[in-house]
Amino acid sequence: MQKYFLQTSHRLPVLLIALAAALVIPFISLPEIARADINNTRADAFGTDELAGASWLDGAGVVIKSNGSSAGDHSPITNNSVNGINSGEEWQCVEMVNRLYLTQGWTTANWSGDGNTLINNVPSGLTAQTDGSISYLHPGDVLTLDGGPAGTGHAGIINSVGSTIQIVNQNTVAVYSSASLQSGTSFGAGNADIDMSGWATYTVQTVVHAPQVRLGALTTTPSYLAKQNSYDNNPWVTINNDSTVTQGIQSGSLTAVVNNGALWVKQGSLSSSWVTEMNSGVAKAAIFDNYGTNTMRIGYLSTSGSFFVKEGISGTWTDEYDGVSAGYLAGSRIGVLTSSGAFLVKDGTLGASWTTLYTSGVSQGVVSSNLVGMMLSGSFYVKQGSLSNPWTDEYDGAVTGQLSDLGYITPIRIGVIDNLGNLYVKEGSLTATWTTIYNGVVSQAVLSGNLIGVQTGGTYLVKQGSLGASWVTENTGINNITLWTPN
Amino acid sequence: MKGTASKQTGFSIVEGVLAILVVLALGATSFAVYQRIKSSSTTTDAASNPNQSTNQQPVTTAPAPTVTYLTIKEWSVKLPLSDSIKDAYYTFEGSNSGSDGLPNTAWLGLTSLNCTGCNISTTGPTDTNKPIGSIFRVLPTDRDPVTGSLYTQQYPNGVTIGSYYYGYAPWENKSCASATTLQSIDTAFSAAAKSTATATTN
Repeated sequence: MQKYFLQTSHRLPVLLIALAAALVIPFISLPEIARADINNTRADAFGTDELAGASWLDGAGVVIKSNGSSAGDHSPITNNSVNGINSGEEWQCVEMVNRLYLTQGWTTANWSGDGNTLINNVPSGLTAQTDGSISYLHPGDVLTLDGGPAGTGHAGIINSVGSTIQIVNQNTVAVYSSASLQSGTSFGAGNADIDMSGWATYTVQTVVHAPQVRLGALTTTPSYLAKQNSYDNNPWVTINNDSTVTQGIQSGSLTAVVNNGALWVKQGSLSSSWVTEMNSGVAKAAIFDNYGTNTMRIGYLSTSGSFFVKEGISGTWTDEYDGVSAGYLAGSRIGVLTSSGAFLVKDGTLGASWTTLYTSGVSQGVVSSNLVGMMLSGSFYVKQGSLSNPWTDEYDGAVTGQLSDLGYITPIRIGVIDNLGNLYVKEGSLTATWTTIYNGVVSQAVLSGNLIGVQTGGTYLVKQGSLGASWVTENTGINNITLWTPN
Repeated sequence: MKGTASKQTGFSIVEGVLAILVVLALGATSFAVYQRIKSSSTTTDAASNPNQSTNQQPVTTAPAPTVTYLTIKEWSVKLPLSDSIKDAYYTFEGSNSGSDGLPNTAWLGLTSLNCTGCNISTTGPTDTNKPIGSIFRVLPTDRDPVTGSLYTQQYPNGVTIGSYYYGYAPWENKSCASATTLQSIDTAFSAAAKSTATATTN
């Protein structure tokens, strides 16, 4: 047996050589082995998975691929697709943008262009802001750059927004890049100018905003919860869990709660700091923001029945009307329902003149930027356009009505809950046909753009898109809901 | 057929020596003139004017004979401008920042092309107004974030001064003049970038 073994003196060197060979041979025999270095994707083989979709955009991202050692085309050029729709050339920067937007349902067709020409073909429903005129930024937004050696610029996706802005890229050396705002610019001022640190010879061109959604829910506990974005992996965030919270609202970049008679408002991220707008005496709040489309407004109904409104977080309160039971804000309009059942609306500045839409007997007023509605003796009436236009009797036998006309891509919507609790919605015009949206006992319904939310038996259901879209159960144990989308 | 008996037509030794002396004399004179012009141009630097905007630095010319410079005072450097680009200006509008927090890209325009789609005087690069190119300032070890190439290799028309590499990057797809004209302008800016020098600032 001994003859099969090496002599002891020779064994160690041989083993060392064998070990070295074992370590080296795989790299010699498998030069194209896929390995992901998110800080140097150029060292990875074409098609290597660099970053999992679950690892960014709160888990709603898409896989970031390596374009190999060079940024240019790979021969033969192959296109990728999402559900049969061309997402572009593998694995260019624009392909990733298309793949994400198609996957999320934010686009429904190929968004063509190079990084610096996507802006010329922005899909319907998406909005763009030029660098230097940016008023908001959210995860999922597309950042485009012009310049660079190929003259085709670049496009990446905003992954997080804070003191620094993180961008996820495909077909760059590093998957992540960071940016910040140029000194002296801000989202609040609407002049945000993004600085891509280190990107010499490139210039930030535009931001194309992803559709945004915010949902709010006041639980029976009570506490106020909210979630944002249209991808469903975002969790609910506890905004306020004081047992004294009585109302929560979402509108654009604003979040507001009424807590123990005080009005707190925050702007931007759900985790940003509260601003105490009023210390006490607040019965109910109203807020309106549409990311700069109209002036941001904050209002509250005092416990003594006066409706106060201010423009902006740091504006000055104006006592709009006394003897009020409800106040409304939408677009450039302010509405009040008086204690005697009169419904008045003004359109314009805080000091604009009131138009009395109805003198008595109104049980609910509804105001949107180009529609107004009222509940009168069990019927829901709506007028569109000028405040002096005639009323249209939309539905008899209703309990409440809702309106939406701020969606960028969704036509006007009118909704009513009938005496049995069923929800009906019509879309497009005052004379459109009603569609049964929910058969059952709906306690509350909210319309915003292409979103419809209902609260039924403490369950919060939302559907997004067409009137026939499926319901998604968002939460349970809820007694009041709010939602907002620009779409 | 020509005859084989020919007359001697070459220089004599003396003539040859004289010809060499003439050439040497001409060379010496030219060198002296060159040195005098060079000395004069460095003293007519169209450098910083504290009253001028930080975003657009018009070129100041001095009485002839001069070399006109584009002085980028934020970086304390200057570029000698040949005749074809003597109306050059720069703006930092739309520039990203470098490792020191200063803008890293000075977009270049020519006043004479402002009305033809290359007017970046107030806005920086836009869809409708494209720069001629840019002078950029990076560390010699910096790489283009897309291609991964060293800036020094990707844009070899440049020079390292102190800790920074200054190079010229032409803007692709510009159309505010004929291709031939734009190419000659790019060539002139490339030459200027290679001759970038430290500027004295007040």
